[in-house]
Amino acid sequence: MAVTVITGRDLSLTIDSKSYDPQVTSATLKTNLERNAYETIDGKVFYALDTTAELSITMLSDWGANSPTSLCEAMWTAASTAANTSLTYTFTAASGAVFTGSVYPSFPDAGGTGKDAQTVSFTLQGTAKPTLTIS
Amino acid sequence: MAASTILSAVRQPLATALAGVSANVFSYVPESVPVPAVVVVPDSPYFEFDTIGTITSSTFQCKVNFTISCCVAYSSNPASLDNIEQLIISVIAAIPAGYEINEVQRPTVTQVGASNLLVADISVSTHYTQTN
Repeated sequence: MAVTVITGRDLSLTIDSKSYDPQVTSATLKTNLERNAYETIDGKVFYALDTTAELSITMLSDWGANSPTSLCEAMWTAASTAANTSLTYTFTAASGAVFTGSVYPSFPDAGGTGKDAQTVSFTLQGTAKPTLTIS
Repeated sequence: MAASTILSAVRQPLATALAGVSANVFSYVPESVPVPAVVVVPDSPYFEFDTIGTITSSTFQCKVNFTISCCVAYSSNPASLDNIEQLIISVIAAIPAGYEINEVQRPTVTQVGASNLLVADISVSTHYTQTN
C-alpha cells in the first residue's frame, strides 16, 4: 500500500477558537520530554521528569487586518492585558490526528524588509503536554 | 455576500490603480500595443501556495505573481530610455499597498508588428484570500 503523504495543506490551526490558516505559513507543535540520566553501576538509566510544549508560528504579518482576524493583534492584546491567562488551541496535523491544549500569549515582532511581504515568527509556550486525539 | 474573485480583488484594483498613469493600460495582452503602454500579465509561477490549511473553492488562498510590462516607442535610444524610466517610476508609484515590488528587468527592444518597442518588465506579487 502506498504511503499517504501529508503536507502543509493538511495542517490547521485555531487559537482561542479562531482559525488562522490564511496567514500562517508554518506551524510546528513541539513537545519536549525532559529526562535525567543517571550513571549506575549497571549502566546509564533515564528518568522522565517533565513534559513541556511550545507552538512555533511563522506567518504573514497581519497587523491592521480585520478579515481574517489578526493573530498579531490578538496575541499583542492578550499578552498586554492577560499575560498569565492561557488560550486554547487546536492543531490538526492531518485528518484524524488533532492536538489540543493551551498556550500563553506572547508579543509578536513588527517589521520586515523593504522588498518582501512582512512576516513574523514567534513561539507560544504551552501550559502542559498537548492532548492528541486520534480518530 | 458575493464570492470574491481574483479579477475583482486583485486584477481590477491593480488596473484601476494604474489607470492614472499616462499610458494605455491593459489587464491582458492586446493585439496591438499603442505606446506608451502598460500591460499587466500573469507571471510564472502565477500562483504560489505558501500558507497552511486545506484549499477549497471557499478557502482558496495563494500568492499571485504578475508582470507589469512598460512599453514605449523605440526611436532615439537616449529619449526612449528616459521615457521608459519615467513610465516605470510612475507605474511603481501607482502600485497600491499590499503588493510586493520585486524587481524591474532591464529594458529590451521588442518588435511588435512593424514597430520597435522598448520594454521593461516589473514583477509584483500580492496575496489573495477567497472570501464568500
